[in-house]
Amino acid sequence: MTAAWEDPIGYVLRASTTGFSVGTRVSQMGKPAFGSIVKAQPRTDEREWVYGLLFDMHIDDDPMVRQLVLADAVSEETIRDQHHHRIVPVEMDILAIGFRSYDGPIRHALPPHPPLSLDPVFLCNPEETKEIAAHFDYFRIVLATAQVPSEQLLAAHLIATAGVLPEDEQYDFLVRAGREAARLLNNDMARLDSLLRLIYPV
Amino acid sequence: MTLELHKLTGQVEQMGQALANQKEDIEGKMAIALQILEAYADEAYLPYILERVQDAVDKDAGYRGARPLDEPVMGTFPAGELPPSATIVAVDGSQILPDTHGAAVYYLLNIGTIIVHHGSGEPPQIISQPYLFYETEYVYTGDRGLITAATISARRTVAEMQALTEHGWRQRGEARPLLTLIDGPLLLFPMSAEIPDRVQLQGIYFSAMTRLLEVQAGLAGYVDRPSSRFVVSMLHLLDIPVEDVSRGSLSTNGRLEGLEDIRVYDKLLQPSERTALFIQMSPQNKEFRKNGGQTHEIVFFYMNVGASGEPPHLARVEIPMWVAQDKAMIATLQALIYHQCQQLMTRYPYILTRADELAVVKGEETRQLNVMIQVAMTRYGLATEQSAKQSGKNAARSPKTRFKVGGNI
Repeated sequence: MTAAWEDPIGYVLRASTTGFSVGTRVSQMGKPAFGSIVKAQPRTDEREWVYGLLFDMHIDDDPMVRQLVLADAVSEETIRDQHHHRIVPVEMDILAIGFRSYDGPIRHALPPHPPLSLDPVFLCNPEETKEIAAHFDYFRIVLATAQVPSEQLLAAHLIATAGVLPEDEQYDFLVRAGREAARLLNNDMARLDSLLRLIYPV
Repeated sequence: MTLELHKLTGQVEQMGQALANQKEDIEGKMAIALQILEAYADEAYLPYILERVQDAVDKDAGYRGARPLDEPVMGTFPAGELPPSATIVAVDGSQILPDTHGAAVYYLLNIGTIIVHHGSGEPPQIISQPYLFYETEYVYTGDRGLITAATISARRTVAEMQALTEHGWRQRGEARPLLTLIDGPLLLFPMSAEIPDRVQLQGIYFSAMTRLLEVQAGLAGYVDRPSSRFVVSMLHLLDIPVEDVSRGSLSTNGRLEGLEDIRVYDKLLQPSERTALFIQMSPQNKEFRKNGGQTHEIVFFYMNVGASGEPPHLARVEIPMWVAQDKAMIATLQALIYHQCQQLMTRYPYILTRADELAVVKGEETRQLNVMIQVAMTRYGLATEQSAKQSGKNAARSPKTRFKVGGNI
């Protein structure tokens, strides 16, 4: 059995330097989650690896799905057909937070180039996750992007990232992240309060 | 926009009025048809009905109506139990017709197939297979005329039956019953002289059917919203005195003219029930019996695929005689078709909807294929210009561009 980050979770559908959308199958949608760190990895070394946070997963309908929803007796084979074969992928939206040039460190800035259509997208492994979260420079990108649910996204990401750290480092990590958030949101107490409540250890 | 809708207001009003009058007229005819049907409902009348049909045939009166097979004409028959497992194969096809104004003259057939392992809980297998035809012998007739749409349609129908047979044959070891389903009638439409390879096509069609018979597969053609009048023609025949039967009297359906079969049965059939089995008395069916053998003669019935509490939704199902002779298989086939129709609110079989989706060639795909062909032609040093007519049409139909401040900089 392969680790969750070894196989692609999907492929780039469309992209810009601020983010990208990923298409995947229903059978693959269990691994990534809201707040996961992912990377679009080009097939050659000529382009950067683009890192981002998953901020939305959505499944579009079509007239046939609307028909099926209303029908009384949809068989298991029909549901599996819809999940496996229909040309309606599950779509995930990713906010770009950094990039890595060939063999270099990860930089917390928008990438110079967007990933290309059909580039495979992977979940980041624990080492990459730790490398990204070693510095909090990307918080500003997340909190400044009005099009994403930024506090919810950052909180989900921080809790997931804390989970890959040794247990005795998790609390310190969340405290440091909370302090950085407080610095960035010092003029918006409502958002800061919301974020801190979300990451406060239960 | 070139259609001036305001000029149609009066005509649309008249049309609505005429359709309302037609509806009243049809309801009166339905009542008459039901009276005739009731009069001959008893099984004891079957020999008499068969005698009347035979009389019309003997008189060469051009009778194209129904002949009951072996069940009372007003009988209704429930579906069997839905089997716990079954294999269903469905096929549909579509085409791109040749365009003499394009860069190259070709046509394309695309055949979609879906195989459902009913009861397995597994996703179905899906196959979409395109075939490109560009050779002179396929695209032109003997006198260098472009082949007609009817020819391509006939070749597509035969390709659908071949795909159904190929995949049905491969499933012969899978869960039984094995049902193969095609969208539309099984009875080939009349192949006129304009179809140059009609004899070969009919031969291929019959031998494909034979292979399905060899693996004892159920075969059915599903016709949604049928407008057929075979049973109504039979009722008209029974409505006139035997001495009046002639080409003239059978050229219309007399006082039942305009009435469709489904209007006769839609108050009689409960959900999942079917009518009696009938044979359509047409030259094509005669040819099926003559060339394909008695097992290949086409039999039909109507069934109500609507759900309980809904208005009736009648479809015509065509089956070959080898299926018609096995009443248990018909009951199972009915149950499987009804189950498929309950998957979608349109009450059209899900499996045929998906076969159509796999087969259909969208406008954008046609455009992409044309680009691929143009690229290939250019690579081999061929000119790839569209005709002036096509270029002009494309220019006229192209979307308009809105002016934007700074947009042209």
